[in-house]
Amino acid sequence: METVGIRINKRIHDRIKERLKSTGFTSVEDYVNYVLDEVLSSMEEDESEDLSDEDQEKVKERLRALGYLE
Amino acid sequence: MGRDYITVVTGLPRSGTSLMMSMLDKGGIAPLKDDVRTADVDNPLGYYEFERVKKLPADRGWMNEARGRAVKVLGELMKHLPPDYEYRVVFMMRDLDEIVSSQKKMMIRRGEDPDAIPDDELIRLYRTYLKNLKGLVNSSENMRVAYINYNELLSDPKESLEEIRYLFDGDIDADSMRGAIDLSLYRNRGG
Repeated sequence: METVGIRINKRIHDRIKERLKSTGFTSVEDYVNYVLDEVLSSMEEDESEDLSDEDQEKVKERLRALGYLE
Repeated sequence: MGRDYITVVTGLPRSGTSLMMSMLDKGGIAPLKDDVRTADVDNPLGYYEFERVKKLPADRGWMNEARGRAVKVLGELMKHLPPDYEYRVVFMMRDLDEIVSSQKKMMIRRGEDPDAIPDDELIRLYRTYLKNLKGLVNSSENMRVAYINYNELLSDPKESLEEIRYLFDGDIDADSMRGAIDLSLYRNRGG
């Protein structure tokens, strides 16, 4: 997966490093990626609007193409 | 006392629903399946599907047969489950990039156009689709649900198995379920 460099506050870095001890994560980078992904996904989900009829049909067509829907 | 509810495994295609069906089978909840869709490279252990489910809402004649067993119900068909049954729902979640990537490989093998919908657009559609589906499940009084993240299930199954145990009031063999997790299948599916 492509990555980019980013700076974070050292205090936050140290807090995350301390937190790693009680998680399954082995690096601050993995943990930050996980948390940001969770937060963004949740925000995007809250902001998303209902599917239009056209969008619903697109999803159904995809499911049919995969053989999961008649 | 036997289970008088229907166990439903749902989610998007390629979100780990077949894996969960096999895990529940190992854990003591027999699957309702017909083997019409047989195992292939996309699902080497089989699809654990029951074709009549696809005929919902017209065909509900199989529902009594599903009591006490686990049945895979595509998210799209959840709204057609009759309200006069109790359901325990295992709702499979997975990283949407992985789902789309895996679906595309499956579509190529099926001779379908994998790029009919751009990835970014499909992920946006799926995100909203799942939000609506969760809303349906959460607001249904006859459904109890556990949301299980496929990626977490494979990397560290302890918490997921605890959630499943809770869903079934402890009436499931979580240790045997853990034994059904086969990481090699995940690698073969290309993440």
